[in-house]
Amino acid sequence: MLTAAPGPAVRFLRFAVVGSIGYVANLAVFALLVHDARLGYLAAATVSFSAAVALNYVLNRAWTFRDARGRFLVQGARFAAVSCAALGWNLLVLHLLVTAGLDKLAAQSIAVVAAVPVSFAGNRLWAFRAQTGERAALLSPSRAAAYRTVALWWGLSRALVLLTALAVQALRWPRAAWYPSLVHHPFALLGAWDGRWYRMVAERGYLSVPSHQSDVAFFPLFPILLGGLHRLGLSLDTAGLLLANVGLLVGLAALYELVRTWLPEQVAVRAAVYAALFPMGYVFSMVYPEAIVLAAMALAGVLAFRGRWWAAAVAAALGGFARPEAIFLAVPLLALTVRRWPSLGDADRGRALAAVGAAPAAVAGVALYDWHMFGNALAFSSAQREWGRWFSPDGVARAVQELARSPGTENVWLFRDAGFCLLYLVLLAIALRAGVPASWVIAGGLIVLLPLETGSFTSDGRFGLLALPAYAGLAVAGRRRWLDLLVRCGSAVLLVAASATVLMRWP
Amino acid sequence: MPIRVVRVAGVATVAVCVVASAAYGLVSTLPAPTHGDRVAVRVLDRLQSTRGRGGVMQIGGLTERVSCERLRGGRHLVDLDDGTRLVLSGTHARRLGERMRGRVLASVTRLPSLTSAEADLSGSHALYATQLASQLAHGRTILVGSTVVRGRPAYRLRLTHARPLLELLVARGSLTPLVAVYRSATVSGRTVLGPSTTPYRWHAC
Repeated sequence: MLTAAPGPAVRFLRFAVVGSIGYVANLAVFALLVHDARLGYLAAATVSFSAAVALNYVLNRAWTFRDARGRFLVQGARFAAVSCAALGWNLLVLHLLVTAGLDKLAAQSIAVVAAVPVSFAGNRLWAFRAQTGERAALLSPSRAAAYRTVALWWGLSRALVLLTALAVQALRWPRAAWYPSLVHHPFALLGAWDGRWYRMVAERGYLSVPSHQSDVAFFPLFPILLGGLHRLGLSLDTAGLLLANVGLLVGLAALYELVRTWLPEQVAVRAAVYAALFPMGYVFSMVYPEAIVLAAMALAGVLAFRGRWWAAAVAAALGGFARPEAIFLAVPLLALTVRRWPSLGDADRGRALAAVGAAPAAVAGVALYDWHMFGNALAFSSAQREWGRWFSPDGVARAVQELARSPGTENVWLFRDAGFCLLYLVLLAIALRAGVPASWVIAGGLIVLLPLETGSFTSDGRFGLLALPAYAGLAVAGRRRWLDLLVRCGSAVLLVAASATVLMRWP
Repeated sequence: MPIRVVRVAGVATVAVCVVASAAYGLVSTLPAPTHGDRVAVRVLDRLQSTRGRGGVMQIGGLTERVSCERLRGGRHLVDLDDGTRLVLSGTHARRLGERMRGRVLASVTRLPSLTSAEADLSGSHALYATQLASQLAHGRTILVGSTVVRGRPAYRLRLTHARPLLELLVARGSLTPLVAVYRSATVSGRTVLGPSTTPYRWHAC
């Protein structure tokens, strides 16, 4: 039976009424839990928020969006995601207004009102969007099987990394003297190197220290998320590990979807499996933002391909807000926009261009902050100088010279990064030959090669993890059964070896 | 046609500006550096743009002059009145062959932490800058209070995380280093630092 759709104004009014009921319910549950059940206020707030979201969902589904009802759990999960995003927006506006000097109650009144349109738009356009054929096909049997395979290999690969980290820490290998400062957490090994900087930014914000290594070199999304989870009660280490590993699961699913738009289904599944097992992929389990950026970049590509430009813009912006490499997303998104330009309406053209500019805009927002706080818009880049990296025309020559001088020194690990750099380039070439769009291969090439302009191969193995077409290239290379087996087994062994040596050299 | 172009460009421009503003707003939600962190950064800047010339050291109940000069390769030579000579390289100190003349710190020469105490009290701005930068890089609390030195209000900055404890007292207004204080389980001492000099004085450190 068809249900008549209410007009936009009526729907918004209903949404506001339901929201008000939820607001009252939230306060009532909170008061009950704090005063009668004597629960801590943070735990009480979490429970009351969840209860209010559940109530709002049921009411909105039954009344506001009754004409757009889909599967209960799927829509419920989306409704919860939109509610969390709206809460984040609410908190951001509240923080900005309080910082600007407004009274806290007045600021919250404005912030709550500001969150309503965000919540309404999110629910109207996503959670309660009308069903289409494409959406119905979203979980076809083959796709569901692919997701299961990807999830299985994600679990296996992460188990390898986490167990190796645990074993290495328990055995105090390779140097016992390194460990006293690490034993505070069973997986502390995975919080080493840059993880310390991200935790520090989460704890105390940015502090530019001239002429010394300082935290402005590290982009803000990851520490902001760390700080958010920390406020919910998780330690920064645990929050980082959770974000990284869950981020990888999302990233692998998104990578599968992205590669599926370029190459056959089986290749797409293999690409995601190989990405999970990739030897440098232990970084995806460290307190590093790489897994989140992988997810953001792949999602941006998939969403843009499906014509969901606003969502692609959000994903690209998140990527740019977490790592500067995400600005190279502009290349494939621009190519897609140009290709589809004739068939796009005016509104979609604007949205497509917004998606192209989103990641660079997020980086520009960070630069603006650096300029305002430290007087140097490129403070995030300048800080790299203290790690021996700076852009110059002779950067590649310096990188090669450094590599040539490294045998016989501790810097011999550079060969690992140089080897991965070469591997990425070969895989990108294979991907291009197999039919991956040239724009994506160019973006991947820039991600791998541009760091060499700073005069070193250092960490290129990690940077290249974000060259998404490389996984497609590897999946194409592994199309024969014995090669597939070789890649899986070889990668797993190397993944364990790389995880075990994480303290010997930073990724 | 131009209106359509303006509409398309307008949507894109507004969206890009919203993203940049949201990014700016989100970074601003990170905690702001504390007053102590900001003071520490300013003191670090001051230490890096000036050099020390030693001072008057009180250690083990004795008072003697300490001077400090720069050597090649970023090392520093610390000279004490009793003939003790140390070479500082980064945060490492090495004792040179002792020329025993004048007073000797007989009661404390055998203490293992004496070399470290003398190095820390040498008045080397480069050494203090290195230690301060290390504290900042580890996100530790540096500004631990304020005090008064010879009638001047001063900040107390902690330059070490654990024992031995090294504190630098700097003038509140000018951030000039005034006194270095060292405390370990076995040795305590302080140096009233001499006036700072410009970084162009090669014989200062």
